[in-house]
Amino acid sequence: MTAVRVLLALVGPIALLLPVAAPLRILLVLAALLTVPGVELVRRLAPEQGPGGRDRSGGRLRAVVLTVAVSLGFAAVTGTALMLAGAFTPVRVLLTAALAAVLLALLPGRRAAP
Amino acid sequence: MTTIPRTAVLPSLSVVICAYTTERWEDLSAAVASVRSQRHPADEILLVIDHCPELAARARAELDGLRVIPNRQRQGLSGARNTGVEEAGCEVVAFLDDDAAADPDWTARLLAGYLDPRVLGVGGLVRPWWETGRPAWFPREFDWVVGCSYRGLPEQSAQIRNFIGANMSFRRAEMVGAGGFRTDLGRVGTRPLGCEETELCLRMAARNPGSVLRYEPSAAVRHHVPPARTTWSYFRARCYAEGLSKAAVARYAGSGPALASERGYLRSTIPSALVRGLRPGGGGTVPALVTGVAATVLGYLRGRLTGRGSLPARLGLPVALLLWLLSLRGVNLSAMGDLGLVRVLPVTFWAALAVLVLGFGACLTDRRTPTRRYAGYLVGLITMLHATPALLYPELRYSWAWKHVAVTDALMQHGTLPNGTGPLQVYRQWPGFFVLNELILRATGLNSALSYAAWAPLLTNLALLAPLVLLYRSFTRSRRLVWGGAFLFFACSWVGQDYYSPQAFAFVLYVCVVAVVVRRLPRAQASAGRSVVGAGRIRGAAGGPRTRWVLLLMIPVAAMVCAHPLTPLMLVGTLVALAIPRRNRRVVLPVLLGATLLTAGWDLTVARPYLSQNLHAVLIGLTQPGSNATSGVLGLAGASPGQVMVAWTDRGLTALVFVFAAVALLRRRSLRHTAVPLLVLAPLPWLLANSYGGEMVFRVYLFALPAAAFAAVTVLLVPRRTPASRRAARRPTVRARRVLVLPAALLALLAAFSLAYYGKEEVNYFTPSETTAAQWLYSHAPTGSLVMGANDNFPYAYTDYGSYDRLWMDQQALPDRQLLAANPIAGLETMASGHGGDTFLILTRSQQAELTATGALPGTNLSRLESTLATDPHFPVLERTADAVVYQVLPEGGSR
Repeated sequence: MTAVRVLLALVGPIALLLPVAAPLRILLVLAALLTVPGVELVRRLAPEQGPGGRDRSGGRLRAVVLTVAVSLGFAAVTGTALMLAGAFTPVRVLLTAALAAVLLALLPGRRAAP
Repeated sequence: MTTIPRTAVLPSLSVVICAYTTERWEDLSAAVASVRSQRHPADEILLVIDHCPELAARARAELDGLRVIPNRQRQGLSGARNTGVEEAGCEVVAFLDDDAAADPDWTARLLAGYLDPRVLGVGGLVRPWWETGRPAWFPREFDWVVGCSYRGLPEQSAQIRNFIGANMSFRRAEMVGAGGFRTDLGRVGTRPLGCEETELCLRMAARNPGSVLRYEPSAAVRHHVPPARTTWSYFRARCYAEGLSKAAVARYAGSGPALASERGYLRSTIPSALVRGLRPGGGGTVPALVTGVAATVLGYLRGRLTGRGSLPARLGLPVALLLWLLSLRGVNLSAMGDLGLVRVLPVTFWAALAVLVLGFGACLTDRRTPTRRYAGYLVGLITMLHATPALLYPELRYSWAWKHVAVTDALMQHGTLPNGTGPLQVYRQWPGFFVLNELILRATGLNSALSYAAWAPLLTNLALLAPLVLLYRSFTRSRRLVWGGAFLFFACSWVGQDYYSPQAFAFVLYVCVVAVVVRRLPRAQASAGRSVVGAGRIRGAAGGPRTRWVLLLMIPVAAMVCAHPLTPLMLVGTLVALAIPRRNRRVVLPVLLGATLLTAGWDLTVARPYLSQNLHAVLIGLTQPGSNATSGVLGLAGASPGQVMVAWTDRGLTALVFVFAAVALLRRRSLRHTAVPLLVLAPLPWLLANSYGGEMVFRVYLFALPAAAFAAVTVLLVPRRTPASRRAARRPTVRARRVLVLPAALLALLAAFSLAYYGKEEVNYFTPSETTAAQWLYSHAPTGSLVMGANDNFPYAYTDYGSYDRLWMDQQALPDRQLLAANPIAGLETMASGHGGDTFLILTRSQQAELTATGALPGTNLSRLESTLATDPHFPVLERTADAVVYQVLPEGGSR
């Protein structure tokens, strides 16, 4: 399961290996921007994901909303910081997001309730 | 029969009895007494009163040894049982009907079943106790009609698919895990629907493969059958209702598992009963057997046919989408007049909207409408409203979208944002949105944001749907209100801040953050346990005072802060408002602190150059609340008649939403105890603080709309919950009015929206020939040239903005504009005189459209200007297309 999470976290950087403007590359980049590292951050940090505090009725929708907002926000903030530092490249932004997600996926500790 | 080993430790037991009327007081007393006199006493007895305060008061006064609890969920047996499960503190919860009485060893027999760890639930035998004797015609195979065990059930302890509700028990943890009884199934008062226990049993079994639901006939109860339930009409009605209920269960669980037992019942039990009935002395049960089967099958068929919603609800969306797609063929955009797209969209487009509204109205009248259908209608509505221009127009619409594409292109080109002047200055300090788009472009390999910017309105509105629904679910559990509110939001969101812009991006993040924060707010004490607006509990905070989620929220907040100047301030204002009630502070203050620090940090560092330059204007704004509030609202003096109408329509729509919201907040106390009023009012103070270039009033509407639309929909959807209004609601005329009023109101709102949103399209629409002329201009004008136009309303107006100077006639000083009107040649030369290099002038159809719509540059008409320029050799035409012309402006005495 962790291997799958790590692989999903790396979708963005992997997509950059595909031919420029290929439909699959566009699809994978957009998927990465919308979910990495939101999925892992929400899994770790959102309160409703923890054991005992699971929020059945609204948890899933809230997790989706948070995942997308956090992932897009992460890309915008990282990109802006890199641009202001004069070091912006798409590889750096996508790698930062992917590394954050991989670290969160590999770190031992709290897991989502089943 | 399950035997109990001597050493066995039985699980603890809560017995839940649900009651809804004082008319069955004797039965209820007998039921309670039977539980209290069990040989193995229950650990607790809970009496759940289903919305009958009189009964609750009497039970508290007269019944001992139990807890009386009001049903906090939706009215009906399912909601009452769920309340009982919530309150129960033991490992096993047993349900006994209020008109049933348990045998003395009932609890012991039930609990013995749980010694097998695979057992999720144990149900027992329900014997009918006929008050006036069993009618001769009433077949034992149909005892389920009176809620009792029937011939055909196992006679020994056995695994079974589902229990009979009058006598059943479950492991509490498993019930909670499965989500309890569905409240849209099951009996409400005397309405003879049912099968909620069947659906729960199927759901629990599906969740736990290998588990067992055990039928234990030795755990018996007797069930009172009053004379009213021994009539033919009750028999028919109950059979029919059972068919309807089975259809509903089949919808949820699939017809395979839902009907497995019924197939066996029809294949063996009923034929055997018919054979018995046809024998001499068979008792005359054959007519009842035939009638019962026929009524049940009829009910089932009707349930399957109409259960997916009424025909308008099911067909409305596909028909509307089909009509919409057909309406997009052959739209003559060049015939767009003063009323924009409204003039040229064919009748099929409006018919499509009407069909969509009627279908959605039909969904709202049926409480069983599934969420996916509501979602389908909303996605359909958003697509029809916001994909139409993208599909019809050959070029990106709206000059501001072009401007933002130009900013993205500049970032792509230079790696940083060049120093712009005028309206472009601000982007350098808040580049987050453009950096995100640069990332998308570079990572995907696309060339320009122009390839997708046209779809931004559709994507922005679609992206708002999920956070809006999340927000509304914090206010109510009623799906009608949640989705009705969302529909109203999109039908009233005329401001148009959904195009390719930092505001659209930041607004989506704003709604996400607010939705998550509001969802964590604790429930208001005043409305604790009460419905918000007539349908279900408000959700309270799910967890303890955890701060991790605050860290999580700071990521979208930081993105907002670096992408847009106004939105973080709006967020801070909203959080301040949410922190006013003391109970909210533990949740809101950490987010408020984080958002304030991030905003202040950004504004004092990266955005400082812009703010210090404009500090004077900001301070002046603070001292002129009156003019801030009215700027952008006044000033229709020079506008065209069509645009005056459009402006009044959007003002009317705005006022209507706020009036509806105010009425809702005044009438509904429970609504006032939610975050809705705070969210509606929070953006209003900004009206007085700054004019935001005349835009503030529209932005305030935008930020107040999510909560205002929800408040407004409660006026349209929920009748006041008084006994008189409930009685009145049953009258056919009142029902018809309710069914018709809502679609009519939604249609009127959509008509107003269309005028407000599409009415300005004459200005926002660009033709390919305008694009060609603009492209020609930039491919020929040397870097450093001055580009002139009547205004910036044309494609590529700000392309490569670090390399060219711009001059728009409508933004020049008044004497220059007056000179332009009186003497166009002299006016143009005066305006261009300060510039040393090459000067180009581009005039387009869209520039004229904006002049006509707004009345800017009174006395100047571009056709007349063109005629005048044609006579002057200082203005040679370099390029002419159908809708645009490019001139070079030569200095006086010069030549090309």
